[in-house]
Amino acid sequence: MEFLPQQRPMYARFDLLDLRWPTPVGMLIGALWLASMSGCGFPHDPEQTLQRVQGHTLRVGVVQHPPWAYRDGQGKWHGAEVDLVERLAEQLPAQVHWITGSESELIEALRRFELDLVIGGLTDDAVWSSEVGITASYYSSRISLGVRPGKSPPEELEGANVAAVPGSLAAALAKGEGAKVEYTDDLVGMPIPIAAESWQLAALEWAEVGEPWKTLHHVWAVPPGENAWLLYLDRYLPAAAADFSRRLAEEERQRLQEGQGTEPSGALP
Amino acid sequence: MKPTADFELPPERAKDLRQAKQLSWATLAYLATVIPLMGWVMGSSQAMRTAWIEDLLSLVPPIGFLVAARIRFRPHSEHYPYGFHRATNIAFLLAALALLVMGGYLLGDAVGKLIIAEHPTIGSVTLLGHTFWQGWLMLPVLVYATIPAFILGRLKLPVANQLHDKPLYADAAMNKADWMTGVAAAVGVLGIGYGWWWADAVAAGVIALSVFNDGVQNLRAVIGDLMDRAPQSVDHSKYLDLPERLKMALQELPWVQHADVRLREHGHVLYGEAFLVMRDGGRVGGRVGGRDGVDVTERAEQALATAYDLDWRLHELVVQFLPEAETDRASEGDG
Repeated sequence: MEFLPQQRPMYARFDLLDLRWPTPVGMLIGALWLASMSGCGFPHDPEQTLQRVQGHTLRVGVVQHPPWAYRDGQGKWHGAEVDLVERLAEQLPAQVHWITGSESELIEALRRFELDLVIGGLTDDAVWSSEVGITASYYSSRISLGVRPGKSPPEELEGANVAAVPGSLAAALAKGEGAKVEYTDDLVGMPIPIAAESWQLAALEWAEVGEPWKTLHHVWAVPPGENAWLLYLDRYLPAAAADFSRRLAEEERQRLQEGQGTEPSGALP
Repeated sequence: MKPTADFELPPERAKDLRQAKQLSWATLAYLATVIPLMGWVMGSSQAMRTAWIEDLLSLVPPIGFLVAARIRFRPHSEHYPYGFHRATNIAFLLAALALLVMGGYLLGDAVGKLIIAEHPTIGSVTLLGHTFWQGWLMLPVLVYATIPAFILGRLKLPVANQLHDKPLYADAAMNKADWMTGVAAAVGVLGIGYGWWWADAVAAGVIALSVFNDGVQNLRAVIGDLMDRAPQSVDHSKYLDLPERLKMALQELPWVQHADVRLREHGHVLYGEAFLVMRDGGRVGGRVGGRDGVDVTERAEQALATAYDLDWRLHELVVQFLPEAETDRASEGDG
């Protein structure tokens, strides 16, 4: 073409536009090779959480939430999730330092690297889920309608009488489905169907009927950016929590028998 | 108003146009696979997210080209006497604006993340029974998002050159430079793997800066195009010497004492005016075919034929015959 003497083209941002294809391919392959060389031990924690807890102390923030995690009169921790943490501590190995508080306090401390882990029935749809690290879900519970064994479910949910604990998500969802909700703190021995979570129904040995209204995915929270620690937990949890729903239902049944009722968390007194 | 004649591409350029259309469709098909894939693996990595948005933005130029290709060859009408050739420039303007705005926003985002010292969490993914770090998934996806774009860019460049299509050229250049985005994002992800939380935000900032720069450069280029700037090469790096050559070609005509030329670009078509001073005193108004009149129409046709032979892009030249008096001023000024 008819150009005036050669000048630098406008789009040569870093003057590399006219490279032949081997160069970018080579650079990418080089980067990948470098990555694979340091692959052992990848990823690393910016705050060395995993290194720090192994052989030392594990600071766990616990949101009190029976039967996931709760303290008895003597100050000892119980719960299906507490179980999981204690077994993790055996594996690391580490000594657990339990810290209790409200969810917002504990998450804030976690965010500032004052804690290594926060547990207590946390779910992945929490408002803070983008501020800290979240494990893959280790257990999913469903909120649905339950009937006592042998009884048949109502044909229509619309207008049906359903019992639920006041202030529970199950009550709100049942109302949303059009049911007439009867509020009661004592779900045991209810003649009518109840709206509750799957582990509560399992503890009562009632049957879940119909499609779940909501599924809650339970997770653990870790400090932001601690990717090696997160990977460790993501590898630990699936195997360790394989029978979590059974353990949770058992905890609940035990609490029912012991007459525990100080923590109204939608649970049965 | 009298519309200019409809423009038709010469056969080789028509072939180039078909190839350009095919390459644009290929780009769109390729991006349709890259975008969901990147969206799936990007996680909370700021660098990956920025690269993903850059990929989304690179949908605009090919779509703009294809839509403009339908519009630009419409018959010239009374209301659009110069035709629709600037359709590509308009599409290009929109693309440049999008790049500018998104680039600026993403740059601010990246800097913000550095200031608040946000540590990006990249968790695990479980595939085929194995749980591994999600960063390992990002790297092959980056390779797929980068290498084919580079190849497409290289294929589009010569076609854009032949067609003298500036938006297409800019699109091709941006595709070719995609490999730098890939490397930056890969370095960001690997940096996080090393434990440098800031690597992600820095890589995102670098990519955002390049997107912003693309926006600025392209905006400057297309604004000039739309303002009838003197014709430039397809990569906007230099002014064409076509006006000079046209002027010289016209001055070679026996009856031309002095010629001046003015050209402007409409997409890949050129319109212009030529100001000719006739050697024999320029009896403008001489009767056509008359015994003592100069056959002005014949001379005009001669001038036009000379011009149109010079370059396929020259679509219409309006020839003006200047009275002799103006030459004194003109010949003093030029060489």
